[in-house]
Amino acid sequence: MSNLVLIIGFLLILGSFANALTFDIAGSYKNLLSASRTLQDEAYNLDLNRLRLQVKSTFSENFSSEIQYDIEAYLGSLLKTNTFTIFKNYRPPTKFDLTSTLLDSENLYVRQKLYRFYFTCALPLGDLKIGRQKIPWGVGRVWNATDPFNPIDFVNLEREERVGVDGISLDIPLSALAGLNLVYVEGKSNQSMGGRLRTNIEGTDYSVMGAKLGSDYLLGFDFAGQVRGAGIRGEFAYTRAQAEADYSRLVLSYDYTFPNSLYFLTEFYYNGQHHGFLGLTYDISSLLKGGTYFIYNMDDGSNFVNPFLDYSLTENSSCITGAYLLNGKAGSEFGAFSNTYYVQVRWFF
Amino acid sequence: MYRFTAGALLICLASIFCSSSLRAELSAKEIIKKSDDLIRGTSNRGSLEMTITNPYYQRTLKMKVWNKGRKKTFIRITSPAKEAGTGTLKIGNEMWNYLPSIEKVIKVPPSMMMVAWMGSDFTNDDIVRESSIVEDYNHRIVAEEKIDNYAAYKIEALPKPNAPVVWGKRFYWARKGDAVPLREEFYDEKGKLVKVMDYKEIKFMGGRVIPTFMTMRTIGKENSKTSLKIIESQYDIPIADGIFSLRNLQTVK
Repeated sequence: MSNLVLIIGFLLILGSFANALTFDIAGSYKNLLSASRTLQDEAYNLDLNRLRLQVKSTFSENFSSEIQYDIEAYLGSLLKTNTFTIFKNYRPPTKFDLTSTLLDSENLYVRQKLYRFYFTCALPLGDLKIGRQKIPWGVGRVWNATDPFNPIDFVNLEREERVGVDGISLDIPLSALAGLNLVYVEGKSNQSMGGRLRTNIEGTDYSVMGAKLGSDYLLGFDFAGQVRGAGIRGEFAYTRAQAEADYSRLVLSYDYTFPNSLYFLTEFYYNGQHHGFLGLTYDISSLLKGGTYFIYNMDDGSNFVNPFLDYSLTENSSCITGAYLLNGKAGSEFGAFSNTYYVQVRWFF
Repeated sequence: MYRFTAGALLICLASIFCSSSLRAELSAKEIIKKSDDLIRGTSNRGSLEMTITNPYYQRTLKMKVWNKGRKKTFIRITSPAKEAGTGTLKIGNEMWNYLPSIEKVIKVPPSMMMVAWMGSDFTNDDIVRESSIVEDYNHRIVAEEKIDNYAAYKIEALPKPNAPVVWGKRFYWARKGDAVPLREEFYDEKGKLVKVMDYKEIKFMGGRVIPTFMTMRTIGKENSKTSLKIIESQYDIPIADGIFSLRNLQTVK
């Protein structure tokens, strides 16, 4: 998408705010400094700076919009590698390319993108959402079997970032805790559609879902409940694939929080291979939290360890530092990647 | 916002007068119930400001709160920016949070209930408590004392067998005459004092005389406290059931 189209589109939306009943601007600035080695074993550092502006406007009682607009500046030695060229040219499998480059030099790369861009219409039937959005399916904390649109990528350095999808979502409430979510997603090369019916029975949330993903079909269910104070969750999905053999995926999850703030999470994931997750976090003080996440591939023996410290700098800012330590033999899931060390500061406004 | 009218004041004064004249006949349970009804109502809606203070920092959370009976609570944090949009829905003994950072609703397991809510001296259970000091405890008046120069009944509350409560004992001070709460002490199952809540700034708000500033202190953390200021509140008003729904939880306006 050309810069011009992106900017004109953005300005048109901004212009329409003149008619908005309410108009709310918020945002955040993130600086993520990381150091690692590329797959070609070149040492690098990368400094990502992202300014995210979130604009919410309400045009009437039943009609609103949300835009999350990013400007990202990348600096560091990674810019001189082929890996960064691949990154610059990568485009997510969304229908619309809402990213455009503003500056591309040897030492600085700047781009802008629309992270979220959707309109919401509260109909008598339910909430209709149109545009670049996130479809929030699945209950797993580390893996999702039943979310074909925005599954968690736990080993991504920006774990909370999700590209989103371009589509239409209709959320029909059936009761306070039950509802039907119908989704149509327009991808780069295919279309997907699906539905997720959720309800709550005797203290447990249950969902069943079905989706047509291009030429594949997915059927699944999930649950989230509680046993003796602990949270238990599960997801199961069966995919009838056209281009490959049918396959199943399974997530089982358990977490417990002790009164002293020690949080324990374990999760099991099967996707043809067996994976285990163990996570511990603890509030060392009111401002400082520490923890470690551990993922183990039971089939190839490779593993991922993520120790981290999270310090609350101010009411609206935090600093996180940690490492992604990867171990495994050549050809294993985590063995091909190098350790990554990072520091992140994020300020909200 | 409500309007402070002469009529409302008259009703309020009359109710205080009637309460005073009846106080001698009220049992410990009736005093507790009157006090609990006063600060809860059958429903309420309001804006609160929570300030967490400790030796290292002070921070303030602003939020909007809806309650319907004892079963339903909805909270939306409005500031600071880092937490804004975070929502909590409680229905019965189930709780869900909406986290804007991941744009998702997650179910909160019961083990989280005793964990500090947003880093404060209040636990999740304090915020969305379903257990009732009226129904889940046995009460008796153990003393008459002065709190902040107000004459008050000191009431001991011991949990009933199998009651879904987290405290081993509570002491509750209610002002004589109108049962306005003045102080509350929370003890664990071993009889050790864990927390103290002081109720201050008693004034007319939402059609009734209530404490509008509460401070919760955790014993052993003498330099820390969490205060809760009621900015605005309304009681015994109709609240749509749609407020207490997953649809509303994930719709941040």
